[in-house]
Formats: sequence, structure tokens, C-alpha cells
Amino acid sequence: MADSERMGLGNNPDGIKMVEAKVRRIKTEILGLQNDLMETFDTGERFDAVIARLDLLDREGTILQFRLDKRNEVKQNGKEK
Amino acid sequence: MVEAGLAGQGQIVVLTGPEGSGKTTQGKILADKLGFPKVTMGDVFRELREQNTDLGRKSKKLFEDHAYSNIDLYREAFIWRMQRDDVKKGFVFEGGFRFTDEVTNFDQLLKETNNVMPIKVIYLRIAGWQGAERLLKRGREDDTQEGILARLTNHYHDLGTRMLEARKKGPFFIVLADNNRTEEAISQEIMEKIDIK
Repeated sequence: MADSERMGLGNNPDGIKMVEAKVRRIKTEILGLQNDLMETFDTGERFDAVIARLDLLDREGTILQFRLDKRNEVKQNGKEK
Repeated sequence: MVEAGLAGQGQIVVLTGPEGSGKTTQGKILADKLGFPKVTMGDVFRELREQNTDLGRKSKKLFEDHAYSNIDLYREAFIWRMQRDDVKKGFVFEGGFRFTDEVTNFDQLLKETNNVMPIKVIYLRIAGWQGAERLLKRGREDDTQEGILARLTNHYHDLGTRMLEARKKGPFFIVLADNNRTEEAISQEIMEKIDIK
């Protein structure tokens, strides 16, 4: 089984690129939401919705980043051998 | 909201936020700058578990079970710590306000221990993956990927409610603790926000 497949990233370089792109999108959205968090905390409007979205994206982004890190680690170890 | 001046010039600064947001580091810096002691419930329970008392045994069991404290045990431990004179002029409460009961009972606990003081709350915000990166570098035994994700989930539980409850205690500020900001920059922003002379 290929490393990328074992890490749940699909046995396909395009699949990995898609995951990397998704991580980038999540990170960009989180940065925007952090500003929204401060604004909505003051106004009260949409505050719960911003927290719920941050919760979802923070966890999803972290899980995907863990997988990418693991994949890079496996690749790196393979090269060292 | 607690009125200022009820216990002289004392102040309580609560530093809260997800794991990996730099609460410990910023708590130390802040405590040094303000000349306040830094209180963290983890340290309180660690100190208590060494004692041959009922509270000590309960605290020891907490560590053995890898469990979170319930509000009753928390209350006992907090009151035990608040009896000391070093907190009477103010303290930095690092890692406080982790669960809703803790926030809602905070005023009452301060009253019971005669430590009513103005409160300011700093929420250190960091993105999940950045916090995780810091924790993994720290390399503590429980800093596994699974452990970090479980703690991130716990952090978000009732977070909105906790933040809104915390704001009733006193001024509440959100400070971004991103990896691209230096410790000094974050510390400076915290000092500006809390504005304690």
C-alpha cells in the first residue's frame, strides 16, 4: 500500500494535492473567522455561528495537517533508508 | 460584574484559551510584570496530591484516573489555594475558565474566600493546528495527536457560553496568539488591554 493511501490521503498525487489545497482553504477561512470572532463577540450577532464554524474547521484542519505531517514523515524516513 | 475597589488595589487577570495558545508562557510574563503570583489549578492539584488529607487523596485520584475535576472538588481546591496571603493583592489565574460551572461560580468562590477583586479576562486565540504544533514540540507524554484532538474538542464544548459568562465578570479581551507573532508582541498587547498600572 502506498504511503499516501495508508495515511488516508488516497493513492494518487492529485489526491494529496487536493488535501493540501483543502488545508490551505481551511487555514485561510480560519484566519478570516478569527477577525469575525472578535467582531461578533462585541455585537453578539452570529457569534454562536462563528464559534461553531471555527470548531469544525479547527478540528478538520488539525486532523488533515496531522495526516500530511505523518505522510511527510514517512516519506522522509523512506528517503533516509 | 464585580465592582472595583472592594479589596483595595487587587486585580485578578484570568488567562484562558485552548491548549498550545501560550497561556503558561504569557502567564509567567504577566505575573512577573505585575508582581502577582500565578495560580493554575493544575499546580494546585499537584501540590494537594502530596498531602495526606481527604482533599489530597481526592486530588491524587484525579491524576491516577486522568480525570477532570468536578465542580465540588474544584471548589475545595480553589478555596484551599485562596486562603494564602499571596493572592490578596491580586493574581494571574492561568488556564482558568475551562468549564462553564467554573465561570459561573467564580464570583461566589471569591466572596467565600474574601478575595473579591476586579477581574479582567484575556482569551488567547490560536488556530488548532498551530496549537497542536506547539504541543507536539513540547513532547509531554499526553501530547499525542489523539490527546490533542480530544482536548481541542473539550475546549470548544460550551465555549460561546463560557465566553459570554466570562464577560459578565469584567472586561474581556481576545488576543491572537498566532505563531507569526512574537511572545513579546503578544505580551505587550495583553498589557495594553488589561491596562493595570
